[in-house]
Amino acid sequence: MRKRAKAILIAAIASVLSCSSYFIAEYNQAVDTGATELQQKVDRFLTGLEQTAGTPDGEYEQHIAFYDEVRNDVGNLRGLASTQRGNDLTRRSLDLIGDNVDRLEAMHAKGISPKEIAIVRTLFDTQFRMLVQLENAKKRKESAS
Amino acid sequence: MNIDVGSLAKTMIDDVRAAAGDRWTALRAFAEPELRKLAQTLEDVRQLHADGDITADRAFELVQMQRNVALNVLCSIEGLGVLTARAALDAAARAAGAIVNRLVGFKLI
Repeated sequence: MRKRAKAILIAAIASVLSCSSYFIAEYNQAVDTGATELQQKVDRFLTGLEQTAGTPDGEYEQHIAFYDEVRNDVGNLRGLASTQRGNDLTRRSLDLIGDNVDRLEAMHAKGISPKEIAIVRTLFDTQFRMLVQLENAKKRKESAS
Repeated sequence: MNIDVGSLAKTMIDDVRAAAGDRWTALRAFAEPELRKLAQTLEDVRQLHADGDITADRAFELVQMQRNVALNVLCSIEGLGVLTARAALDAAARAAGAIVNRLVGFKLI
């Protein structure tokens, strides 16, 4: 009887330990793929902008649709991430990317130079890499367990 | 005046290491290069401003973007830290499960 009580106690402790603040959402292929595609889209845009900055083709008015599209993409990914419990870090990461898209748009509207774009590209590259790393770590964790 | 990139990176790394505690060993290879890159980008912005390529307002805007990126890096470090801790807990739970299953005589966990 004492053995059984001990077993139940250990089981309860183990189950509490495996929940709580240590819970993180499962890997979501759609978020991972979406983030990678968005990274490529932003990178292509910045490459084009770097070449056309200072010319009529590089003017903000020519690219308003791009910013709307990217905001929409970020919103969709955020929606996907929100369907999973324990995905706060992914949601926060997407919010930070969305905020930087807004900031880039504001800079572009005022005029942006190739040297500034080079810095912005490094920043977005890191942001997306961090997001993808986080998603891939979830995947590695699942395949290891 | 130049930013001492090495010193700034070291300060950031020391702070994150202190916050990460014993998870740092698992996070170090990932976190250190990212924190160094952040310090370097700050210096790049300062250099553009010093060279007269950007205004103070634009430098401020770029630093605000950089701040968001730093938060992204911290989100990932936090996530990897949680996953590392979770893996350790899972291993502990598996070990406990083996004992419990032996005690109860069937596969409870």
